[in-house]
Amino acid sequence: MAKAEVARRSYPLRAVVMRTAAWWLMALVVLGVAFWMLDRGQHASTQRAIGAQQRTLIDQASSVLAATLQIPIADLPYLADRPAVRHWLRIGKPELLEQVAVDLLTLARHRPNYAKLRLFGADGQEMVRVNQDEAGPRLVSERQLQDKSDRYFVRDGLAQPSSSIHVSRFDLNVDGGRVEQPYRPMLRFGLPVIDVGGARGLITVNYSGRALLEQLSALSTEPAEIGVWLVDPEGYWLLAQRPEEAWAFEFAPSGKGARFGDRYGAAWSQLRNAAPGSTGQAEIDGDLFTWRRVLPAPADNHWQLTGPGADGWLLVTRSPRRVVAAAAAGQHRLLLSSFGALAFAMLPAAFVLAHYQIGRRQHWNRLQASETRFREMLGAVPDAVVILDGEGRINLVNAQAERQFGYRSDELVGQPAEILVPERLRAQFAVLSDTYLAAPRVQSLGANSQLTARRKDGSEFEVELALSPVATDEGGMAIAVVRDVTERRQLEQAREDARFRHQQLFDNLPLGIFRSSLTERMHDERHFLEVNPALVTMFEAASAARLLACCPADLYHDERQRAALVAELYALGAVTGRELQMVTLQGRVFDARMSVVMRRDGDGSRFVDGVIEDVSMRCAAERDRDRAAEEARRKAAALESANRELEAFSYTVSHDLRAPLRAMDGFSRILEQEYGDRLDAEGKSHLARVRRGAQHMAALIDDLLKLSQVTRRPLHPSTVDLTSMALELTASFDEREPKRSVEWHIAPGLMARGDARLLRVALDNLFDNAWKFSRKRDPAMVEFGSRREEQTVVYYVRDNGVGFDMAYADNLFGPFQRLHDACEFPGTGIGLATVQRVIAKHHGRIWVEAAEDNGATFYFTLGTQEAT
Amino acid sequence: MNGKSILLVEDNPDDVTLTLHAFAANRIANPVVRVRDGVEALDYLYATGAFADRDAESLPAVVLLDLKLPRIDGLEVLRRIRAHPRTRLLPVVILTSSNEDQDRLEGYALGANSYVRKPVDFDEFVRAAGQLGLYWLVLNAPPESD
Repeated sequence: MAKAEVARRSYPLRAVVMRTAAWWLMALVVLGVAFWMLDRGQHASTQRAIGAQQRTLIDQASSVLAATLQIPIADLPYLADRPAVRHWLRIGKPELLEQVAVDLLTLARHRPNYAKLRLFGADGQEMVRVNQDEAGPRLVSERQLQDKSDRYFVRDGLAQPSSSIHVSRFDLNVDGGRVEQPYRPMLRFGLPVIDVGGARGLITVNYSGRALLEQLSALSTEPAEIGVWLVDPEGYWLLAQRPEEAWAFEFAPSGKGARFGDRYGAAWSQLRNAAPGSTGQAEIDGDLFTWRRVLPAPADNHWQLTGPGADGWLLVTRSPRRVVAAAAAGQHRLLLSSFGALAFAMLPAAFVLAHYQIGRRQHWNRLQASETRFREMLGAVPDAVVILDGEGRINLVNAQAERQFGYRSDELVGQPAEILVPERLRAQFAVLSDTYLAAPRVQSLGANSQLTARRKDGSEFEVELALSPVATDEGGMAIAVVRDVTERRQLEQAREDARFRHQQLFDNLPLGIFRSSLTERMHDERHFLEVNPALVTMFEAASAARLLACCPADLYHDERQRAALVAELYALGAVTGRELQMVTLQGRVFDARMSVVMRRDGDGSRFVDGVIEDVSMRCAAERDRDRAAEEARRKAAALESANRELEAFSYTVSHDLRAPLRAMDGFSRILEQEYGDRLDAEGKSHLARVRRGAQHMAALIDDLLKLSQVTRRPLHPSTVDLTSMALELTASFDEREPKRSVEWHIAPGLMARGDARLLRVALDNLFDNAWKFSRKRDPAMVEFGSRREEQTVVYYVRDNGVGFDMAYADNLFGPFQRLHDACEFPGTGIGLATVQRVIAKHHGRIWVEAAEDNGATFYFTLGTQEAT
Repeated sequence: MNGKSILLVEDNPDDVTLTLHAFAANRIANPVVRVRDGVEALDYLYATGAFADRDAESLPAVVLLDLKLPRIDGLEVLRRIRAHPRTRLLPVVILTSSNEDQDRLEGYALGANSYVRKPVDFDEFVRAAGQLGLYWLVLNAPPESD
């Protein structure tokens, strides 16, 4: 199992390599920084050591220089104060110079570096001169004395006050206009001597610097790189690392690299103005410089120094970068190799660290995933799960348990399990619990007996409980799966209720219901399996048992009907609404209506479910109804035939009755026209009567046809503009009899919903009426308008004609009714009947208001139409 | 007014006499061919039966057709006239006593050029006959037959 696990999970090489690299890089960075700082420290200390060496060198050189130069500075005042010089100045006798020469010679003997000692006169003429070489001092004879007034140090020396010592440039001796070989570095000092009388002279010392330079040079032996240089204020080397670099101003003053500043510009600008007396040191452009300005005499000297040499010289040492580096190189290599070794050693360490780190994280992730899976599984279980420890305390619950019991998880964990049991049952539960704990085994409780659980709010519900023991690291535990069976119990109850209702339905239905067995062979008798009380009653059985005992086949009155039914049932599986005659156990025959369906049992045996209804009563009723329907059909046919006859009649009337009338009228007219001269007035009058009669007859026929059309014609409703219809009609009236003048008052905007053709017929008749009966009025007036009465629009046609007595108004709308003399007001008496038909077809109403000799008003409505 | 004939299809002799009178009163001098029923009318038009000798190419200017006729009725005669290519465009005026909507609609649907109801008042009839003659014999030149 464990091996399989390992095999399944491959080693996370990539992650470990990445992590190792990360750790190693981090270590390298830290190490690198540390070693770099160490290296810097090493370098600085090396530099300090070299710096100290340089400082010592400069101090020594400065001491040598100061000690050397203070001698001539002290000797000059000594010579100037010698009595011989003073005498000579005061008296000016040449023989006094001998004593001066003695003094100079004496001093020269003690000063081997004094190359020349001289006394000049005020005009620059040498008065006394002592030359000195390896052989010793020698007084120059009077003849050899020269006028040196052209020399700058003589001129300047004589011009200055007696308290100043003139110091010349440190340069090379020139003899005969050329630099003397080998070089003789020379430094000249001069002090004027002045008598109170104003006589003036000058004492000079030519100091040979070779020894001094050699002494300085000797200081800088080891290491060779740290040599001491002497640099004059203009930046020319007097003492350099290589001899050829020195004294450049004598040979090529502006040559390349001739001056210090040309080669070390940054350093020169810093040290050229160095204050005398203190040592400076700095790392400039990577090189380490140490320097000091040294004056010919200390600053607190009594004598004022003048001349080019008064500013002194610079003592400088330089250690190039490579020298410092070389000094630190050993340490540097050591550090580098240590770094390498440590870096190498870090690699396995980083790997081990990464390995364990990744491993731990994976382990933790797996644990987490496993835990999540477990919780998800637990949450997905549809039942409440409660895990109990060995002492019956709740260890873990799932979300379903929280919902089911109404507790939060933290309220349950650690609590005894009995918290989930109603208090009254806890004793009983304790026994159960002890029994289980004594011998834990898988068991299921509550399936048969009732097990009750308690929610937090105290309500109770029925449960089933499954207990399974599990062994864990923390000891034996029990998993309790608690299922809320309330719903199941409710379902069971509902099922039971439904079954009861169905039984009731079965028992109470006024239909006979049965189930009977059916064997495979067609003619085998069946017997009833179930019958309901209605069936027992229907077949007049004393009890259900009696009916169940009898053979169903005996209950059919007609064996052929039964055989047909069974055959059809076998063929189709069901027969619906079969009407047949059955016989009761008492022998009474009745009409029945049967529906049966054949079914197969689980084991394949057949049975029949059926419904039987006693339809004796219904059959009788149906027979009555059929008779009534037949009667209705007969009447409808008769009506239709009558209608057809009526139509044919109308057609005949329209076509055939008019032909003879036409003949009567036509031939009368021809008689009148063509034979009128053979008739007297009475004859003509009779002919005219024939024609009138024929025409009246034609009018009667037309009106009757119109009435019949109105009656037969179905309604085609649309929106009808009554105003324009009325205007068209009145125009035709005016046309018909242009001599009459009738004032028509037609209200504008009269709209109605109805059959346009029929409404035209109605309006035509009403106008005709009004037009006719207002014949004797002048002016005759006919008005058509409407008014609103509640929801109904009432239209009216009013005339100012002869009117009539309202006592006869009832008869007005019947056909052929007339209230006036036909001669005076000709007409058929059908018009108003037609109008009445039209209005009635529109579900409207028509009535009249009139007074004799005072006009008449016909009102009508069209259903409950709105006028717009 | 040209000399083309008028075919009058009418079974009632009174109506025939009155119609001829009305034409005379309107001074319509075209010869009037009178047949008594639908069969004769078709025989005349297509030169068959009793009219086999007739030149079938010569058609009347207008047919005045009564609807209620023995044997073949007016509407059927009209249908056949319209179905036959030669008489397809022949002017047919229905001249009848009937004022039934049914007849009127069917007549127009079958292609009657006009529908005139014979009025009882003879004076009106004379006026109507005059208008007919004016329109169909004078104003409306018959179309060329194919």
